[in-house]
Amino acid sequence: MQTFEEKPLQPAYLKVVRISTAITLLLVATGPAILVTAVSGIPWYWVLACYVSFYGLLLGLFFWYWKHWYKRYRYALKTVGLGIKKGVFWQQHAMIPRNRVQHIDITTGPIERRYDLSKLVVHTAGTSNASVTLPGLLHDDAVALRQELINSNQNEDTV
Amino acid sequence: MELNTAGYRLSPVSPLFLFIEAVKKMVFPLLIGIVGTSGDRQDLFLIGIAALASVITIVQFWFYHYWLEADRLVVKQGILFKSLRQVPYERIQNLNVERNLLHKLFNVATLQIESASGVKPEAVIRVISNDQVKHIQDTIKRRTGHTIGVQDDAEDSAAADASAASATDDPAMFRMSHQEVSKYGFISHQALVPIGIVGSILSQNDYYRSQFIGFMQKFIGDLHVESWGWSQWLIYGLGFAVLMLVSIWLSSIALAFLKLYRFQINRVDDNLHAEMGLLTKLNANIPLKRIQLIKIRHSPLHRYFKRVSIKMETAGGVTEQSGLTMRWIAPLIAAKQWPQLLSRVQPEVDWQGMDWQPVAARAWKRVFKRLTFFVLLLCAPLVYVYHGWGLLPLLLLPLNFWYAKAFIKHAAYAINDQVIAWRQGVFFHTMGVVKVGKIQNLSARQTPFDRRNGMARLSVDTAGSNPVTQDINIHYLNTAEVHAMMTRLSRQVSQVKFVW
Repeated sequence: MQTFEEKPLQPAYLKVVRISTAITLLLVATGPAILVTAVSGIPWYWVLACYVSFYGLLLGLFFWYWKHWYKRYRYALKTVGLGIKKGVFWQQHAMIPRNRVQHIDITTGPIERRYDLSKLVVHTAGTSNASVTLPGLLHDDAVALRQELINSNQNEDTV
Repeated sequence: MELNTAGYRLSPVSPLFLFIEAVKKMVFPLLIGIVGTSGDRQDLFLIGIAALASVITIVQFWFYHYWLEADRLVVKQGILFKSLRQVPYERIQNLNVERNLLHKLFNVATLQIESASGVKPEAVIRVISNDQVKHIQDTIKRRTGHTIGVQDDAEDSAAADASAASATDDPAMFRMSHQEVSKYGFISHQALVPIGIVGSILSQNDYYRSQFIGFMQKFIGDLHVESWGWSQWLIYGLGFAVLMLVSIWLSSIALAFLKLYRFQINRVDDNLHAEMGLLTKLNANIPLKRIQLIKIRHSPLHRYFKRVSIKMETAGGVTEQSGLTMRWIAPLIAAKQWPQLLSRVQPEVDWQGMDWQPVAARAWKRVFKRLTFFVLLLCAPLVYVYHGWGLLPLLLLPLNFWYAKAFIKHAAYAINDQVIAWRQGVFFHTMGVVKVGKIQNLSARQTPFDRRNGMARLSVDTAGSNPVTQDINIHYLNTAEVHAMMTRLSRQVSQVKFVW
């Protein structure tokens, strides 16, 4: 049975969340900016300046937040199961015992794929916390971790 | 009837029951449609939709087949969207049988099969003959050995009582007398909400409201309400309140009788077998190992009668809206007897020797602060409008203080080799018990406030728990304690196999 001590996520994942935040903010902010330009009589360059500085401020806040989020994120595989510690303000330490794993998905988004990263989604039979997501793993690591969790569970038919 | 062929149809009287079910589903929207609106052309439209829907439901009857294979029950249904559902006997969580007066008249029953998946029952077979119900039950029992014990399906409760009495080695584990049922009705006052809903709907409707006011004016006009002094107002006001209370209590007791008449629960092998109901009789069968969580509650009224209520959660998430449910171990039981009853349900758990640990004593300050915050929030607009008088809610502060102290004093948890248990509540006490084998995952959470006070909360997730209320949540614990609990519980959980 493999185990490992607490590990951080892949550094590339910090880039991934920052890129996707930048894109999301762009999409969210453009609409209102155009609306304000169209409705009010303020010259366009003021609106643009306002928009850029607001965008920059939000982006800065989020970049700062993601940095700390990334720093706090740790996962470990123990003999009992998979442990995940995360959260900046609201912190959480989740533990999924190996013998409670029902099935495991691996998903990959377009930006993650560029950096060869994957998300591991571990499902249990619980309700409020039934699936636990572990992002920012190298694809091969994710596959290996899935294999390990499934293997260590195989001799026990939980269902 | 040949019972062993593949592909049974429903009973020939099924369309009647399907229609009634469809009408039942339509009745509430229809009522709103008729009572709530002015009674125009749109109502006809609504009725049209209802009629069409019921015709479709009845046609479904011709396309409903089911059969029993060596290891599974197969249900085939659907006209345009066909579905073939296979339910392995091993996976069947509950087997509920419903019979109301109409069922009895035609000698048929509704059978509901529940597995651990989702909110909807796996299959509702509406309706089949009693022989067929017995056959299905026997088959399932035979194929699974002890997994699903099947109750003896006595024709009426008198016979059931007789058979229970004759089999003296296993008499009813728990049964409710008529007196207990009325007490339950009194304590639960279930009729409060329906009466409130009907009242509010009627008051929304101009026609009914003017009728009501006219009707009342006849009385009050005779009573010369304009010349009343405060004592008369007080007397009539009190009289009205008492009248309302009594009518709510009486109808609640009536509801309780409809539902819980002759409630009795038995342990047959490794199953709980319950039956209850006056007009609609419900037989439920729950394998013991499917019980995920046991909850014991009592309110101030419960305590006055020295009673508690015991509920359970099974892995099937069927709710009252989506099917038949049976969540009771005992709707009302003497406070002294519950450990005895529960140790017959789960003998491996030491129900009385739990080692209750208090939560962090200093946490009362946090409860007090939070309550005070809400009081201040209430004050703010009041002060703005009424100035000095707006500070009146501050008189609640001593009450807050008492509540916070009492809350922390009552909150506690216990962990031993078999279970994790917790209890909390000042007026409405709740105690929950989960067997370690039923825990799916664990998490320790800390809010910024928790962190400042060196506290954390422990959440435990089980199958079939209510995702909204998220019950299993022990708050106001010291951080170190929570980490120790996590370590201990996750080790224990990883040693016990989970069985659905």
